[in-house]
Parts: sequence; structure tokens; C-alpha cells
Amino acid sequence: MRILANSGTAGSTLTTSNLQPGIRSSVRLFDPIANAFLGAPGNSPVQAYTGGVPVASEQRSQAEGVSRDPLVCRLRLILDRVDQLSTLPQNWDSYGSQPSAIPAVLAAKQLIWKVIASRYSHALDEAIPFSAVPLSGGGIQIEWRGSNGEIEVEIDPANSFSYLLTTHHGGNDETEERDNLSEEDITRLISSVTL
Amino acid sequence: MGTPVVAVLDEDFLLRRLSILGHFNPDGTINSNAFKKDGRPDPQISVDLARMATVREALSRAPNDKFKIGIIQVRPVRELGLVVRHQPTPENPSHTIIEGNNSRATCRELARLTWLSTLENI
Repeated sequence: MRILANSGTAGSTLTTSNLQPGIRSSVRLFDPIANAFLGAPGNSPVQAYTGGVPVASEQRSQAEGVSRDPLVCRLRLILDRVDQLSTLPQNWDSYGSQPSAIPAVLAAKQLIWKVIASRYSHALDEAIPFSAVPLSGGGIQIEWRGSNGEIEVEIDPANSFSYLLTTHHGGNDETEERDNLSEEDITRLISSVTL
Repeated sequence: MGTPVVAVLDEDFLLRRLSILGHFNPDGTINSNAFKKDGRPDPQISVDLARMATVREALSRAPNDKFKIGIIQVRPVRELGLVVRHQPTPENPSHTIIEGNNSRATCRELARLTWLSTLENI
């Protein structure tokens, strides 16, 4: 599934400097859930989330070319990784776990895109998850690392969100963990880490 | 007659089976999910007492070759407030458990304290 495209001229790259507020990036990210490019004129990425199953626009992405930008590649790798979690073998952990459940995979990808959409213009680097791993029992755990700390988000097979938030205060770390949050609350928390 | 239970010392090391498919971060570090079960902190983590088992033996108990062995010392585990005790089974005389892991923060600490064995031939 090709979902990331470089809409700029050949050789255009995405750098930290062109991710500052008010400066438009030359790289455009195609959001398969909204079926549109982030930041496209007249398209609000955040408002585009109305649910539904992600569908890639294969033809459109192929026509525009797949980006080789490091950040976009990182995002593509993490999305591919999330997809792969549902294809893990039974007993992947040697303690009898099944692979990640499809609803957890879809919820994870939707959450990633929601965070990308909300942080796209000024913190894309930190908006891309650090890791995505399976949880025994069929869930998924995604971690974001940002300037303000780290957050591990657990998505269980029933699409319930839990988290461990670690924030840095001088030389000390503070942790906070909670269960059963809404997607909206989790997105807000992740954004607070990825300033 | 079963294996006698031995005292686990602070200086002892523990061996934890880690899945190449799921327990590692992209940078090669160990993820906290290695210490969770059914999506929750594992309250009774199974490990091997390194004094009674080799890395190779610990690996041999894995169902396939998609596993590595993580090593963790007992002292810092106990400093987290966890209990470590030998609990041998007929199949595994070195079987040991870490009890009391009931928070995600502890899982993360355990992952941080664990390092990957490169000593698969001993």
C-alpha cells in the first residue's frame, strides 16, 4: 500500500527548518483515512476524521511518486510495522499470545494519523511514533518520544486506550498511568509530549 | 524428587526470553512489552536463574529460533520493590519468578535494566 507521496519538485526534501509554524513543507502526506493529502487547500485534516476503514489511493500516490524523505520514510516504516503486527505467528511471544487484532491495528493507524494531522505543520519529527510493538493478548503498544517526555499508549483488542506518561522535570522523571481513555483524550496527551 | 529451592541472591543474574518479532524497539533496545502479559503488567514474570542455566539452555526452551535472551541482575529488580524467588519446575530446574510487577512504569524500568545477551554459546 503506497500512501506517502512527495508532491514537490524532484529532489525536494523535508527538513526541520521547513517544519516551523507558518512555513509550508514541500512534502505532502497522504492520509488514507481522510483519503486526502494533509494540508491540501480546503481540506482540514483534523475535521476529515469521520471514521471508516483506511483506503489507500494507490493510483494517486503512484502518479505523484513515493517520497524518500527520511521523516516520511520513518512514518511509512512505522505504519508498515503496525500492519505487520496482525500477521505475527500464533505464540509469537512463547507465552501463547495471538497476533495483534485487526481492530487494534485499525485503531492504532487512525491514532497515528490523527496525531500526524494535529502536529503536521510544526512537529512532524516528534509526531511520528518511536515504536509500535504487539501486546500479548492481541493489543498494540505505540510509543511517542518528544521534547516534554515519553508516552506509551496501549490499544487493546476492544479499542480501549491506556497510557504511561513519563515527563522530565530537571533531573527527575514523573510517571502517570491511566486506563480506558477516549481517542480524543489520548491524542491530546500525545500532543502535549510532542511540542 | 524435585529440584530443591535455592535462595536467590542480589548478585544473581536472571535470564528472560525475548521475542525478536515483538519485544524490541527500532533502535535495538528492549521494549516494556517484554514484561507485560495479556496487555497488562505481568504480575509473575518467568525467568531463569543464570546460576543454574546457560543462555543456550534458556534459548532451547523457546518454541523456535526467533528469540534472544535478556539478562537482568536481581539487585536492581528488588530495588524496584519486586520479589524474586526460585520456583523450579520438573521441566525447568532454573525457573524463577519476579513477583509484584503491577505498573507500566515498572515494566519500563525492567526493560531499561535488561540488556541483551551476546553470549549464546555459553
